[in-house]
Amino acid sequence: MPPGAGITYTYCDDATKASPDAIPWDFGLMDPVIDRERLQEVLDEVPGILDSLSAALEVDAPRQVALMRAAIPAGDAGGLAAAAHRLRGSVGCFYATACLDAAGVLEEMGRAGNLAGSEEALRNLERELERLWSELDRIREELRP
Amino acid sequence: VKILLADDEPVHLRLLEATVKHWGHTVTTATDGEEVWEILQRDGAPDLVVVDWDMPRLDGLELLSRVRADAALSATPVLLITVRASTVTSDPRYAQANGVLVKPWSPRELRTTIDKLAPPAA
Repeated sequence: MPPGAGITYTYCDDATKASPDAIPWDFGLMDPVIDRERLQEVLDEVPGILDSLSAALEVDAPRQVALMRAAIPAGDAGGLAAAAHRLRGSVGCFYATACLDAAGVLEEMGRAGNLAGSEEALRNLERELERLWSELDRIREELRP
Repeated sequence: VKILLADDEPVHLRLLEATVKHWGHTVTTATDGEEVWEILQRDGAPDLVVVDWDMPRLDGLELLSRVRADAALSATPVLLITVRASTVTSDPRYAQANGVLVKPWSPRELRTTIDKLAPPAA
């Protein structure tokens, strides 16, 4: 059976990786940036909330990433877990699936007191945050009257 | 309905506040459990307290224990919100909450829970 066979694909933003045959063994499948259906429930309920939430995230997310970046070389597992946990709560407001997962990996590392691989996990989280900013910009543009 | 909301995460607190206000409730906010406790001591019990489990100084579960031990506040409905659904249930204190909501929640879940725990006066 080829790598990736049997997996149900819901979303992939790179067509070259959309085929199971094209996925190398060590490639982590990309989660959707945002579960748009669930975010839409919030936007339908509280119109106009997205700008306000995005503004709050633009302040808080870099702060939490900076705390994580400082915690890793200091061996501060508790600090890493706390910052990752807080970021999970924030990105969860956007149903930002990939960011939730990426921050969850760091939180688990912190809680387990095992920081091996945490630098790469943080780089992955930063990549996912970049994807989230782009997707939020796109959605805000789409919603603009 | 008077609702006291508490979370140290500014994004989540902003979402909670905007959503609950949009439904016409009167909202007070706090950013940690000690602040909630101070508000409760000063203003008395609201119709509902919605608190995050993980907060600095005094977390949601510790706050819940204090509320239940206080004669004037013990009957106050408390809704606990957490992103750690699997671990919160391992702490027996969580059973003192009137409800537990897991992040990320949907507006429908939140509204149903609030209406159940603090029904609007007829």
